[in-house]
Amino acid sequence: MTQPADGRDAMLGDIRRALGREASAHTVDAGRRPRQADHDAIERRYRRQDDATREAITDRFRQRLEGLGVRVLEAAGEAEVRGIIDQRLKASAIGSVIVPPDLPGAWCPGDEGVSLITDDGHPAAAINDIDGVITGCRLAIAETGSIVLDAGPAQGRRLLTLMPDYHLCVIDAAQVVGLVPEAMTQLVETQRTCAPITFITGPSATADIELSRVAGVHGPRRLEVILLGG
Amino acid sequence: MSETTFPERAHQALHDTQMRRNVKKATTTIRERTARMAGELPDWEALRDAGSALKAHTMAYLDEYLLELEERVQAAGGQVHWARDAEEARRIVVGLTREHETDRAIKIKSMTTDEVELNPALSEAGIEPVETDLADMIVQLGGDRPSHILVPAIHRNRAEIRELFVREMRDMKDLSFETLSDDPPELTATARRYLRSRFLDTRVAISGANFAVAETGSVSVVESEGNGRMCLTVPDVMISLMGIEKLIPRWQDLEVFLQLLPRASTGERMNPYTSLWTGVHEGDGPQTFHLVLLDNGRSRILADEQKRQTLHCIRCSRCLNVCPVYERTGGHAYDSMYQGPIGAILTPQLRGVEQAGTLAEASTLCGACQEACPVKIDIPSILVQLRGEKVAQQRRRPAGRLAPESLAMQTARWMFERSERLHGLQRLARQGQKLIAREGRIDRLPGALGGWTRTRDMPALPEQSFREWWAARQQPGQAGAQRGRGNHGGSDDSTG
Repeated sequence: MTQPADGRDAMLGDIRRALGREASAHTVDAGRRPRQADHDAIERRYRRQDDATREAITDRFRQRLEGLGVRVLEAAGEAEVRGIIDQRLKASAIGSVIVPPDLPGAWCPGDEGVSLITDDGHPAAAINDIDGVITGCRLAIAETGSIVLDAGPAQGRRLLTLMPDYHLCVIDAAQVVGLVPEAMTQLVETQRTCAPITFITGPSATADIELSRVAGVHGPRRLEVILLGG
Repeated sequence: MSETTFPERAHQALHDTQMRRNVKKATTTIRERTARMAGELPDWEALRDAGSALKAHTMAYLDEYLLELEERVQAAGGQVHWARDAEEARRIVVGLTREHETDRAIKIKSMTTDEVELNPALSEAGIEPVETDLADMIVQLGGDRPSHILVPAIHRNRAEIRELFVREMRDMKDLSFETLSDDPPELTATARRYLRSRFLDTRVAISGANFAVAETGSVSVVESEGNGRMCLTVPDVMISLMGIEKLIPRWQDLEVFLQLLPRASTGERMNPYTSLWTGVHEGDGPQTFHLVLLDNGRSRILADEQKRQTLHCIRCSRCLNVCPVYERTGGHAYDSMYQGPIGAILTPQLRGVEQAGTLAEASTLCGACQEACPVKIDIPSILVQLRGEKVAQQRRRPAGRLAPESLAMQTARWMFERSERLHGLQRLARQGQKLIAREGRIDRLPGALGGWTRTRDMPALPEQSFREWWAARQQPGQAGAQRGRGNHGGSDDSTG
């Protein structure tokens, strides 16, 4: 497809003139620092590293999740995960779950009554008919109670965590960082692969009708977390 | 756009008691929540400083960063388009949508697409635009206008929304409207079902953008409901229209704005869903991505160093919630998708002061907006500058020079130029006011001045002016007596 004619050069010219520079990319302005140096000079006095202990960070994460209406279940080790999953699926009346192809075997339901679907590129409409989804995550942020997915191991495509009404996420306590800047630093690697990133903070919500908060508009209405080794 | 002025529209809005109640409830609730969330962070002020500095830096190198963004988006499989004005943006987006032979496009809440009036253009081209944000959907179903940046349907109550749904969703199967209550969870569940089928069978989605990262070519949409994730994941084609000011330089810079925006906007530590995508990603989400960069007056704003700050706005709407004028008039009086203090500076600059100049008067200059702004935009100073520009422009025409306000200001200038003129007029006024002053108050000024006293009394001029009192005080022997009367309130050791 050919690019339609548009205002690219005219727009760039308008911007350069507005900035008081000649309408060319290569004119060097005597008084101007190179942009990298100017960017580096920006003062960042905000916290970029959480000094709290690992235990305190995990506690804060747990607290934030609960404040958002997310049920948190503790697993001391991998061996406990399946039992918790079976128990939660039963309690939530989940009859079918979809999982990404690389979800660890220990995180798959053991209950034969639950139909287990491994994602192999199912169309959106098919995923729409599935009750729940089980995934891991890339990392989590204690300060905000956020779970971050980047389509990496044990996470699958974005559709999986969107269409079903129930999302169960297994998070290793070692994956929890304290602050947002720490998360962004770790995600620099993801950026190199251009993979999509989603921050999930509690179940979807709206307050559009008379500011009354309603959980669950289009995303999963129920979000539960198994915290591993917390 | 209407021909009315802000004062006229505000006057009308003040009579809508339902709207005033709703807006007051919204602003009070969100104001408290955002103050709590901002106050909770020990480094909130440091984040504001960094946000402000980052925006100023981006604007100074905007052309370079735009080129970097273009290159990164293209490298990741996306296509970049440049739109100088609203007309060009409409032509590009409608053209791209048409290429995919669809009669419908699903939309994520976007003020930029409202700004260029995209929806009517899509309809005209035979493409039905479907707003998927709950509030935007309510506004669209009602053929209505948004009244708040963050909660656009705040002027509607639950009963009105129920009625709208019943009327507009008639053709929806297996839904019993007879039993539908006006309970918000039930109305929300109805909207979920109504939209789910549209998400599944629409090929093209259109969005705005909250941020775009020059360094990586990543675009971000920040939302609560999940309608954004649906649009970003299910369709085949994604078209995002973003104002050129939404750019941020580097990936790491997101750490500042992802903390500032949710806390200042909805008063959350983080909004439920933040999506970031870079071009197209095989097997996950739309396989065609178009990014349309919009100028539409922004480069003009860039030219003035003070007004340039207007472009730092991240559309959190916190300034609306703290504004005493907005709280009373609501959003419709601003006659724009950008309301409140930020609208009062942005709209006149986008449309020109001659068309929207009265908006710059929609403020008491109390400064609450600047205090609240997460990127520290000096809104009051820009308002004053815009007022000055409007007056200067009016004075260029004879009719403008002879307008009552202009004449009054010219008289005032003449009067204040020489102290004897001021004295003479004060003496004259003191004689004149005897006809209308009662017990030191004037409750009705004559003629054109009457507007001032329609809703308030004016204090009458005192028997003695400060200067007269001061002159008398200097005379030996009289000073003590004068001071003793204390009629000017100064304490004894005051030096005046």
